[in-house]
Amino acid sequence: MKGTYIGELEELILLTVGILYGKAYGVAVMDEIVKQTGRSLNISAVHSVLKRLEEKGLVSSTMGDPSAERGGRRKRIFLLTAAGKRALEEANEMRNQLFNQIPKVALQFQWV
Amino acid sequence: MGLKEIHPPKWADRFLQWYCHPELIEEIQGDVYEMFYRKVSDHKNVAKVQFIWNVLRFFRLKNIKKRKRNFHPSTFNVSMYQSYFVSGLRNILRNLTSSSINIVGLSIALACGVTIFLFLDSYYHRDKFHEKGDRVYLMMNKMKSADEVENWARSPYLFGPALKDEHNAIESVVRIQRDRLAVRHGDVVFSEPVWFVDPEFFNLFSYHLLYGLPNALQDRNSIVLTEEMAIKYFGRTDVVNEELSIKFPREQKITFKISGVLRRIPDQSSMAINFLIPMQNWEDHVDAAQHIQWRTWAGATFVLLRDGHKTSELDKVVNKYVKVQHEANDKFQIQSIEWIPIGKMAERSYEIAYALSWSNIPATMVAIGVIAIALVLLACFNYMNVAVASVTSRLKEIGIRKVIGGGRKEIIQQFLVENTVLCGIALAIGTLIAATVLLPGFNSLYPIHIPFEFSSSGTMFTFFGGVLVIVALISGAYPALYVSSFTPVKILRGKEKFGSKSLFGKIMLSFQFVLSFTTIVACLAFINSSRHFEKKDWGYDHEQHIFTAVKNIEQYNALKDRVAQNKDVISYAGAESHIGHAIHQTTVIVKEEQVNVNRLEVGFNYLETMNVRIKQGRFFDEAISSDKTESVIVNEAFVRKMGWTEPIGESFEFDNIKWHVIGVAQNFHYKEFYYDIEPTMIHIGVEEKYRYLVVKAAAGSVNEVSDFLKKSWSSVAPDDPYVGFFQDEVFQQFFSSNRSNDKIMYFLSAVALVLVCMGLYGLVSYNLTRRLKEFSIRKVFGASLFQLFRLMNHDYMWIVLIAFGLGAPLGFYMVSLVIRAAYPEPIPMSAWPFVISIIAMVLTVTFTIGTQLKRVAQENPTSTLRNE
Repeated sequence: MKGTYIGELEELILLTVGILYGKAYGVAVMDEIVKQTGRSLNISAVHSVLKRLEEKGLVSSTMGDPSAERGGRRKRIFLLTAAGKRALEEANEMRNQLFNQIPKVALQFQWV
Repeated sequence: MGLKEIHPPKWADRFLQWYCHPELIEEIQGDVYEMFYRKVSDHKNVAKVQFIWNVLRFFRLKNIKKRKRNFHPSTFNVSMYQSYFVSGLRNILRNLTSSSINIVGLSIALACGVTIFLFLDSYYHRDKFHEKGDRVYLMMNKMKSADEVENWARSPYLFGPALKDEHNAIESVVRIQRDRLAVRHGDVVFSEPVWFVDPEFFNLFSYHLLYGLPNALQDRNSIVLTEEMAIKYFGRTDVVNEELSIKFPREQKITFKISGVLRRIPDQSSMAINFLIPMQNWEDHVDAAQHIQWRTWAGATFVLLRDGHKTSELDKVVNKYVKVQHEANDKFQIQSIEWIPIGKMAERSYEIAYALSWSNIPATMVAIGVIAIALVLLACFNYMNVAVASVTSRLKEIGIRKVIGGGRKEIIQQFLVENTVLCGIALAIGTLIAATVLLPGFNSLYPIHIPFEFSSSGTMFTFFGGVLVIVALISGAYPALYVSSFTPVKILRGKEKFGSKSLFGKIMLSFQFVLSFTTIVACLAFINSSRHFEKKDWGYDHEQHIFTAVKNIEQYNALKDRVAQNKDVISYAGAESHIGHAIHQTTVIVKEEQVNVNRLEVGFNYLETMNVRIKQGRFFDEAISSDKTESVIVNEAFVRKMGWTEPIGESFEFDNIKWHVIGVAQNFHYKEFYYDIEPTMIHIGVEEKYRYLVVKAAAGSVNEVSDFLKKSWSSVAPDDPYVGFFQDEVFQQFFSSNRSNDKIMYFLSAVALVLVCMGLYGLVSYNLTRRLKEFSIRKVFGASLFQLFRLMNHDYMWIVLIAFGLGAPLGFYMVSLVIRAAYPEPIPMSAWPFVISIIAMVLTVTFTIGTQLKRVAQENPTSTLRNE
């Protein structure tokens, strides 16, 4: 359990990589997170998280095609691996499981 | 399209490329470029700032490229160093001229450095040898005076013992009283510094006894003396149980038995000890009339604390007794007391009145240290120039080394090792020079003694190791880096351009020239001023004069009778005070105005004997009775101060008597030349108070008369030491310290000249090598050697002239500041310091360039030009 544990930011970026299937590279991931959650991250932070995820085997990467707006440089495209997918599922499942155990009454807020 | 013109800040991009790991560079650079171009259309500057920010944020450990530690791991081994060492030595031998110049320059500078370091080291480690030193403190009193606080080493005589009785943190207290007394053994009598000390003296201070026991001062009639004193009085050192007699101020003669002989006082001791006797004698014989109370002062009080106690524990008791002291003494009151550890006593004595030791103000010590560092640095820079120049002959070697696999690192290593070898040799020679020439020279010139030893072996190793590493690095780093940067192909094809313009070298050289001009002119101007004093008229004759101090009128009359019969004596006179030895100060009233003047009470014939010159009026005349009571002769300064136009017949009041001026004496120096000549009055004194007999000997017989006086003295007053001087000697300290300074100045000028000469040598040979082909071509076309010489000289003479323009006035200005601060009257300055320094420098430059040009003269132009 300990080995597959992923942090909150890692989970967020892992999700984003999933969303941007086939188009996930540094700047795109950063932009997507801003769009979806309003959280602005520095590009270097995104890079280091992506690298960490790759080291954990949760994503894999290939070099894409060169593009003009990058001065002819290639993108590194990230893809979810099976382990990545499972990690996301586990995290999701655990959260739901925990959420469901909250007694109904604790969630019923009323103006008293 | 215009947008594409705008690029991210170049330096940031380069920085990114420099640090970034090659595997990551593409994606990282791509991302930051993409963000930059996205933004740049709206906000050019924001985009740039963002770019820089992103580059900086990417500067993380994981993104930084790993540097390759060992390109050729196999080359790091001892045998390579061995080879460097050998080739270094061979190279030194092959280029004997340039390496010996290097070694000589460096070793002279290092010799100065070592000497100064030894001086500073011994200076700051004085009094650290006392075994209980961490518990021994000097009681320093901060005294309230008019509006400032004065530090006194003196303290109330009763204070120390009172503290000891009251507080058990104090193990013992030792007070010291210093006096000068006549010490006699048989016919040998000298006036000696004698210290009265409490018997615990040897418990506090670790002075070791050669003979006798540490309780040597218990018996009140015991005396302890040093080895040197034992030899002075007895001619041997095992003198325990011998007797010495001491005469005290009230003429009592007490016999003391020697109970201990001290081993030679170590150089690290700041206190100079000759004779020690128990304090009881001071109470009985010196101060007996004035019985001891809280107003009585002790010369110094030291306390020894018990283990584990601090001086702060004493505060309460101290305050109690400070109040007692205030009640007893309303004139000098202690404000507070500071306990100075014995190890700190010496270096603080510059701010302590009545201190037992000496010290300079810290600024002086800093200045001395800076001079040492500057000298060594100068030599290092010189070395650098010469080293770079001498490398030219080894270009091929470097090329080959690189081709067969030596990397840049190896070349650097090789040069640094060679350099360290050379610096090591220079350091060894420098230390030798310091030990055999500089230290003995310095010690013979000045009263202090610098031993050739370090305070600890740790200091020694750190010093030598540190100096070697620093000097080797400073002087060798640039040549090593420079040489190793050549590409082998270029070297081997002979295409390596060897430095374009040695601007750096030239700037260094100009700086050195300025510095050495400053030094030389300052030194010469200083020497000039001391020459001036040597030749200066004292205002009276001093070559044939001897004066003897007497204790009373009986001694005076007895001696006078003998002197009167000696036919070598031209004239003699008695006096209460004496020019150059003792002169009193007093206040006179001139037209209801108080004036401070010097007062000289002399006998008839004194002024004539001394040949004080009378400008106006007449000498005293024994036949005129009023001359004894109300006539006075004043000096020119007196007349000028009063503004008298017709001084003869003027009068003033002194001691309730009206004095009439009968003569004006030319100004004469009664004190060392540091002091201005103040208004002085001369009048006839009372015969009973005569303290001096002044004798003028016939030319050439001064020494005979002096011997005669000495011989006569032993029959006149056998218990008193003979105190007689040649008048020539009264300013001896002044002149001898001036002469010592002169020698140092000559030495400094020589060092400045030698160092600058070496710097020049390096640069000239460097440039000559560079222009060898040019000169060869010129020779082929018929240029004479003189023309080449002028061509070469041209560059440097400009530097010399500019440096002269800057350095000479600076040096002159500095010295005149010093002289103006030290001497009241202006000293006529001649032009010769300037003339000599510029001539010396031009000669040096010409000589240096000339020796180098010999290379060109002897070389066949074809050999230089053909090798392409």
